[in-house]
Amino acid sequence: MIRRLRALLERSRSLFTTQALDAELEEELSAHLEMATEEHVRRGLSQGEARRIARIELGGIGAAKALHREHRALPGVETLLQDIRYGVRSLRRERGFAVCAVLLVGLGVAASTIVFSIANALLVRPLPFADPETLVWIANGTQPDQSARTVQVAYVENMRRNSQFFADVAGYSPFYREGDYHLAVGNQPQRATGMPITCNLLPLLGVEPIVGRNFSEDQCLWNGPPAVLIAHGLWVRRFAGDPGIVGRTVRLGGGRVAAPAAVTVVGVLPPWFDLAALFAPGTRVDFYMPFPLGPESNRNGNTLALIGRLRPGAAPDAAQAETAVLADTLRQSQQLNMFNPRVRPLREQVSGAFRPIVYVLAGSVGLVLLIVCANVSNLLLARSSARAKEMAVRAALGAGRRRLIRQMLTESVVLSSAGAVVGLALAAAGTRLLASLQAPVPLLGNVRLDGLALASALGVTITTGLAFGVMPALRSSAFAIEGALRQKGRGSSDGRGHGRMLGGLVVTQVALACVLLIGATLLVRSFVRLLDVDLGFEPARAIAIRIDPGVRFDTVARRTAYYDDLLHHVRDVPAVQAAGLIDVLPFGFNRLWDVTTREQPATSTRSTAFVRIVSEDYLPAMGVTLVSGRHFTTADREGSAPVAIVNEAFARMLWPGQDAIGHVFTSSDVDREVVGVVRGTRHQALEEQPGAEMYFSFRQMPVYEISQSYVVVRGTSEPAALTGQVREALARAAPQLPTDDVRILETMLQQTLAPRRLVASLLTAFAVFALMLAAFGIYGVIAYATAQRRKEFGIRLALGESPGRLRGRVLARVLALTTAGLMLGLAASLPAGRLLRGLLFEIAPADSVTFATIPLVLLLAAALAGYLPARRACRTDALEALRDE
Amino acid sequence: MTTDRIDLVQGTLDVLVLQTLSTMGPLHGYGIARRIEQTSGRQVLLNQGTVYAALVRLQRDGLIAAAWGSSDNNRRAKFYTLTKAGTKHLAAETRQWRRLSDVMNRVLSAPPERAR
Repeated sequence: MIRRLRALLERSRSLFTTQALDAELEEELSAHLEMATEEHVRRGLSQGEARRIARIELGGIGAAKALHREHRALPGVETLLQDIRYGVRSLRRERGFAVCAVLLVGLGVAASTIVFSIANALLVRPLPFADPETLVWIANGTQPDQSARTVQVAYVENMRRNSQFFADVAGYSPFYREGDYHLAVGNQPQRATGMPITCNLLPLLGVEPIVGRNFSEDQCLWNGPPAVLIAHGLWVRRFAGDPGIVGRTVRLGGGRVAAPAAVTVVGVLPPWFDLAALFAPGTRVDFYMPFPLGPESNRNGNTLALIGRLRPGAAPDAAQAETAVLADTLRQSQQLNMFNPRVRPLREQVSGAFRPIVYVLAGSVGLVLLIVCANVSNLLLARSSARAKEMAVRAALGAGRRRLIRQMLTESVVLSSAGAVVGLALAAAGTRLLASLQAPVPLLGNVRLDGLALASALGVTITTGLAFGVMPALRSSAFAIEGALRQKGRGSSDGRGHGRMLGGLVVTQVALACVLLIGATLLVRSFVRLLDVDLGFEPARAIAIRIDPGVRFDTVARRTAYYDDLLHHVRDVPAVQAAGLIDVLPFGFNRLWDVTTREQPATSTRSTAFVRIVSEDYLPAMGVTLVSGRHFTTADREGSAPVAIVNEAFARMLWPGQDAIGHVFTSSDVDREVVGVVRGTRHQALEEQPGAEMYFSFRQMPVYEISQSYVVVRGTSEPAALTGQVREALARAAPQLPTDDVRILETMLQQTLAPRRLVASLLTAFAVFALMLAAFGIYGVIAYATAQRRKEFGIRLALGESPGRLRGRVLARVLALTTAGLMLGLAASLPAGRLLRGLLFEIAPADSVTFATIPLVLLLAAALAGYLPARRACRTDALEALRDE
Repeated sequence: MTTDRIDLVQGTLDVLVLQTLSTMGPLHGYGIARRIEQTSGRQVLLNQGTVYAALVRLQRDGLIAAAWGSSDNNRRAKFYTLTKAGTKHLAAETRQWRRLSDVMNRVLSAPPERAR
């Protein structure tokens, strides 16, 4: 065995060192000859005679060399290399053909590798934790609203103590907000985002800080010494990657801290550790702090999103059943919120929602590859008739059919490999671009070309090479053996079979392109519909800057004075048209409060509505339309009668068919009178109808109800200029206020659209590529067919057929092929469209506009592609065509 | 030139080369060819070129090793030596050949049995 291996090694090495080995042998043989000659001379022969005899005895140097080579190399591989060299040479000869084919394959490989890299990052590559397959997500119930899905602390403590199926359960609080904290390193504080995690979360995930260590036990207690673990990004940005940061203190204000206080940095997390990329993609976490488990945190109700580590062999279902039993038992002894556990693999929670999107992309890229194969096949077939003579000569010289097929297939794999080089370069650029997108897609930053992606590209390359090569190879080899020499070198058509094959390829391409175009059009139309959605507010030329201070207010009056002062300064900026205050921005955090009315007591179903705490200028500044009643005024203040503005959905919910103005409802134990009704705003997602919304004046809210606040500014200048001016004004009013959390409303909107935009644009790119390929394929086939029939056309023209009729004849064939392809394509598009249903918005999978337009587009493209060769055919000069014979 | 020299049976040349290297120590291709001719009493019809094919084959299988050196009269030549594997292989082959030639001898020298 080892001897065989060594032999193989030696032989393969000799493949690459042929010349050196030959030279060595040469030297050895000449030494041999000289020694032999010398000996003969010594025995008395003349120099010339001695040399002659020596040569005879050696038995011919050429034969010795051939024998030598045969014994040292791998004959199969040498043939292969020979074929490859031959393939490269023949491709170089036909540069136009080669460039086309290489580009086609390159684009195909690039598309498939990019899509594979997305699938790899989102669905295949294990999460970057220890034993990721035993990690599960434990949700509360199945409602989409996040606050309802979190769990109360007592349940977690109970599970950690009593569960047979969980090795451990940890969690984080999803109620942190971006930029909640003011982090001061030098003098000027900046906004920073802190995520509270239970102290066992990092050990449970198997994550260790790269510098420092996890929180200590006393730091994990309620009111324990304040400590933070900082994310790698913040460490590099703010602390220049200084390992001495551990043990130092930073000043932290805002958020859950009453007043700026010193906090100890206990460690730095690894660069790849990013919980936001998993659970809140598109956002950033700067540091993590301890979330204490205990009776104090239990009092805050549902607070934790849970991650569990299953014991070896435990199934999620069993763990879920056990958790439900444990929860019910616990609830009998304590007053607790409901916990209706749902356990599923962590990966499902993180990227499961993107599975259908990835499948759609993978399916489309498969279609693209098929079209590429059909197209290159087409080119090869057309070329194969040009090479028929060459093949015939090779066959006549004794090349067997297998040998010819092998040579042709090697050539197509050489072709696809060249394409793969182009494709991988494109894919590298594409994946880098994707990874840098700030889109709410989990793990998007992990999209990269890795070994697996390269392997997939290699697989695609070889498969496509063989796939597009096999038909032409079989065809032309058979052709060669049958005796192409009998056929005349040119002019005669090479049989009906060939034409049918080319026609079939065209039909296939049109059908596949049709499916892709329809899918892409459905997605694009959904996207356009979404852009047209009435948001209920006006995002143009509006920005929002977070302005809550790093300290808590002790009285409402002081808070009101602070915000009034800030708003006053902002309004003084000349470019500012309107400015107002709000505690939650669209597409951000939301909170639902219960609402009740006296007319409708607690017996009926619970009503809830979204709360927004605003200043009196917010609704006008945001462009929310007042339907009836009035806006808030400064007279709606602490001590005056509590009032509310509600949206139409709210009014319909509580008082269907009535005017809401003047009605009173209760929320958070306060009775409020409705003074105005406004249009609804899309706050959750563009796709979702506005829910019931209620607006309260910030002047009438107790101090603890406002944890964050933004000033929304509408200006006359562009957002960038406006931002600078507003920040300067804010700095004059409150020099210590960090104003680096700036949102441009239109950008926020774009961000929520990013996943959709990504899918729609990828699919559109595929579809356009497919359309071009199909047109190119039609052009190629028709050009080829008309060239083959040049003589016939010449005769027809000479006999008086009008060029117009001839053109019509050619175009008729184009349209017949296209129509056949369209029939197939449309039939396949119906089920394909249904697969897209989940990604569509207000567009039916069998959307009639799409299904009517796309065939027209394809027909037009086909007519264009067929027209050029048809026109050329009609210019055929009869005499010339016949003289060619 | 005598005409009744023996044509080498396939595979025997390798053994002859190994045996030569085993008795003579490191040797170049020409030396090996000459030595085989001499020890066989010029009985073997040797196309000297085939020695080089055998040398490549043996080297590939790791039975011999090669290194450039200088010959007696200071000519650059490639010298071949037996490797450990080569020694073992030669021993096995020698046993094999002995057995074969014994059998052949016995069979060929058996007295003719008279038919009844």
